[in-house]
Amino acid sequence: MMDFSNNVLVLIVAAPAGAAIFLLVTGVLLNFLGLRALPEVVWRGVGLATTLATFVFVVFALVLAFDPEKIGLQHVAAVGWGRGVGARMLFGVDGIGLCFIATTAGLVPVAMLSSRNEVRDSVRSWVVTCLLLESCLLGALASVNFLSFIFFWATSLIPVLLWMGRWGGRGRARAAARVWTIELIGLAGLLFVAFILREASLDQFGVATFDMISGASRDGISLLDVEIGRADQTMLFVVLAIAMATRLPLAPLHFWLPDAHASAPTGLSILLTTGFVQTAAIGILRYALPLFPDAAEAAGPVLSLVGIIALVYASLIALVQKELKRLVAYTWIGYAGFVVFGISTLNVQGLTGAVVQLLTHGVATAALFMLIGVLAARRGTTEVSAFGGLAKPMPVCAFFFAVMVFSLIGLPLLGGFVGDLFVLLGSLETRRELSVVALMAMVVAASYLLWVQRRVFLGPIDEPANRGLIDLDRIERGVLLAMTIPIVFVGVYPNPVLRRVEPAVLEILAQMESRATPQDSPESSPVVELVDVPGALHSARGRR
Amino acid sequence: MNPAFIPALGALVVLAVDLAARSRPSDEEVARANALSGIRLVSVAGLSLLAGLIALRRPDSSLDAFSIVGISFVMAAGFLVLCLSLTHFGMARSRPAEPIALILFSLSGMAAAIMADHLLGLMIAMELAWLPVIALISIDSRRLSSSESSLKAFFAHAFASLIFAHGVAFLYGATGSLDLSSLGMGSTDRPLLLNVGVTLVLTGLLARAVVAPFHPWSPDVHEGAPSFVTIHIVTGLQATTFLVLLRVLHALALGDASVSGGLGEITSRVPILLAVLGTLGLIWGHAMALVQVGLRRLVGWLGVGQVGFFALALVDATQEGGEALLLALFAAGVSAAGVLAILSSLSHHERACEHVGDLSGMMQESPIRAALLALFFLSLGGFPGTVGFVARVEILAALEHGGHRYLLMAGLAATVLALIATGRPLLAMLRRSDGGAVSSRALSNEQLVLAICGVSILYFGLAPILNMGTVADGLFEWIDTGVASLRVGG
Repeated sequence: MMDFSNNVLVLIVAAPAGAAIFLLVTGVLLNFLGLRALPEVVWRGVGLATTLATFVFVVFALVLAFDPEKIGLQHVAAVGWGRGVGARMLFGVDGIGLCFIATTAGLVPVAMLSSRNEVRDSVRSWVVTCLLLESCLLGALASVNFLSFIFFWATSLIPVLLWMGRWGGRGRARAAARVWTIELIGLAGLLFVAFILREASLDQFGVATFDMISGASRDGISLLDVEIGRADQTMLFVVLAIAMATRLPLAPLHFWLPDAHASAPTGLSILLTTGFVQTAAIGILRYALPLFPDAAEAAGPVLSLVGIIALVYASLIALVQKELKRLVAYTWIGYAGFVVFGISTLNVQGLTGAVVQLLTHGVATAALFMLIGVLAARRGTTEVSAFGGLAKPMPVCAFFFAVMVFSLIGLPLLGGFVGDLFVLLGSLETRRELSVVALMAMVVAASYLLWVQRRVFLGPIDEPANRGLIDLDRIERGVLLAMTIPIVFVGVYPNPVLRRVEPAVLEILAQMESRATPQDSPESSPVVELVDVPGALHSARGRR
Repeated sequence: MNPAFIPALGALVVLAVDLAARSRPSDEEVARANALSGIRLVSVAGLSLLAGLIALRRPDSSLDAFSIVGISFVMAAGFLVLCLSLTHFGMARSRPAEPIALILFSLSGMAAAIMADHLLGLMIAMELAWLPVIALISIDSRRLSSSESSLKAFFAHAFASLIFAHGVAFLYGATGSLDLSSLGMGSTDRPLLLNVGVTLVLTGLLARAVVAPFHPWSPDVHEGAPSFVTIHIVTGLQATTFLVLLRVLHALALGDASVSGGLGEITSRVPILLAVLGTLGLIWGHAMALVQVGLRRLVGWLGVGQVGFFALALVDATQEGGEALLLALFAAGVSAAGVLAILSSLSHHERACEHVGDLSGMMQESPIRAALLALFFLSLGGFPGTVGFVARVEILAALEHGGHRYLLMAGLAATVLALIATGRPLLAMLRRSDGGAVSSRALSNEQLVLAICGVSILYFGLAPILNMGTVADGLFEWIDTGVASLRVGG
């Protein structure tokens, strides 16, 4: 039986939005009463305090209270009402969701801090935007009802659009329009899948449900109980995969990302590479794989190929980028391809590696965006050619940049290595030939990242304007240190993360196994044979 | 007294009060006098609508639940229209008595049309609903576009009336009856007359409902007519026409398809007609909205797309489709009313807000109105979290339930187009201001309309997924009962 006794997740999701509403109502009331509006610094303070408090609450009430030995979702909480459509908010967290929620909750205050110098006007609106975005992202990550996932997925788009369109840099209108358009296409895909699933649920059980947990509703039905034919599975999986690919983003649906990062403020870039992308990953792991196992299995080789092509393509494009933000954006597109490659292996190592990659590479990429933001603020440009020899005036900045680059290229003892290793181990089982190509593409990625590191921070200082650049201030150092700690921690001691991610991965695979149509030949299925999830979990831990 | 006549009586009272209190103010005092007179007369008109609503709720009322729901809806929308018309009178554009009386006469016609179960009565009621509106469109006589759009609306109305009247004549010739309730039961030995009659009646109603391809005048009217008139058309006239269509389709659906020459044969083809016209409208309207520069025309074209959705809700004329239609009419009404109220408020007070580009810097200058305008546009486009989304979901769910997967896909594609189109004004608002415009507050009557529309959109948009469905439950159950009464009554 699910435990509905606590509402930790409801509180976590609602807290930032609640604070935003409180601030708005206070502002309107003061205005109505003819009193002086609260100063902007108070709004900033309340916003930052809320995001920090949310993170602290996530750590104490969710991360520390999470039982890694327990199979299935924890902290399940339901809010809402159905009215036949089956819509309601149902929250729950497994190891994967836990890691994503913790990362996102931790990075929102970082994003706010890193944008403190970029946002000068309409500060009140910006604070509300940040808080709403946090609620939407956390809601999507915590949702275990497909319609509530779609709701948060869609609503997260509005704060992103506002943040980019209002406080972005040059070309922000075009970038925001692109994000809006591509995300709406993804949304239409999600809604299409939802309608078909609803109809299937109605046909088979007479009730519409979007829950992903059996026993969470009065009738005890979930989407996992709904049988879907192979043809429908293929269609729905393709539509859902395309919808997720728009946000991940997977080439060739990546065209919005370089422009978006180039014009987005630093804080938004940080959240785009972490929480925003993680919602897409959750969409694949929590919905696409368990609901459409036959289609996922059949599409595995194609997905692997697409992932590798994206990795190679993005790596090659990144080689010719002259602007730092676009270069890092292409790096991310490449790693998104690698994540898809890991997921497409459909085994424990591959899926675990993909999740760890999203965590560590997400944080490292976010840190790089923050460092680029710092450089842009000091120097007024992000052109690679404008820099050189910055390690002398900005040694701390150079140090953090190096750590993040090393993590991204998969240097041992840093978080990126763990993710890369697991994905490659997984791919060696099922996609041996492609793993060689993936390795070569990673070498290319490493080469251009190291080239950037050398070009920007090492060598002589050619430009006189670079001589007097001021290094990171205390807040920036603190924030970057906070981002470095998890990367080093996962690299040195990945067990706590793996202990939480692997059971969730095993359960996904078990759900796939239980819903898969029986094959004539058991060898044809790449999905691991999982009759007993705890047993498999035990043996996986034993291997490690 | 029949609730349909109460607004008409109110109109007469308004005219009498105006006649009694008429004075001759100097030119400088015209605006002030008009505003004061407008407040007084709108109060009288509002009271008459209130009386109509009270009459509807009387236990001895002989009206069916569907009529009560429909009339309550158009009268509530009438309140919004009257409220917003005060801005127009305050700007001394015209004397208030005649427009208010015209609105009330039109509301009477709408109420009579919604409750009509006789085709001749329906025809007369529709004339009463439409003709005052045609006069209202041209009320801003200083603007050429106002007169021009009025003329276009008149021709469109005349065409629809002509077709409908011929249809009624053919039906009478075929069945010897004009009762809607008996129409569905009858069979005839003149199937050709019957088929032509049903086709013409439905075509006449679809033409009035602005279903594509009968829509070209609609964006022009959005551009030319004052905002309160446009809101009256969207929330009142269009809604009434669709409610009438729903009633007629339910009556026709009772025909027995197995009887050769009976109504069943022709009505089996109606869903195809509605599906084709609905799809055409929603794709055409939303696609055209993508390229509009003028804000009012943008709303007009989005309206054409919305009407396509309404037509799709009628494809099966099921209980589910009917409920979805009523919710969609409500959603489209509050969303369009909200957008037009903001545009009206901006145009009158601080800027010429006619083009998408005119919204530049609005978020900086008027953040609350900018947020509301964004909300209204998002609801118009069907974005999650708004009542527009809930309504679209209900329609699309009804289509999927009826096995119309291609229509579902067309609906989703159209929603994407609509949201892309609505994204343009949103992005324009985010642009930084050049500092030229002066910010001001909306007037109290505008604030009231905006608050009602905003709260409705958010509450009914979020209620289905948050645990706050008490009022929403009540509304949805009321709608369900209303639509169910059509079948029982039929």
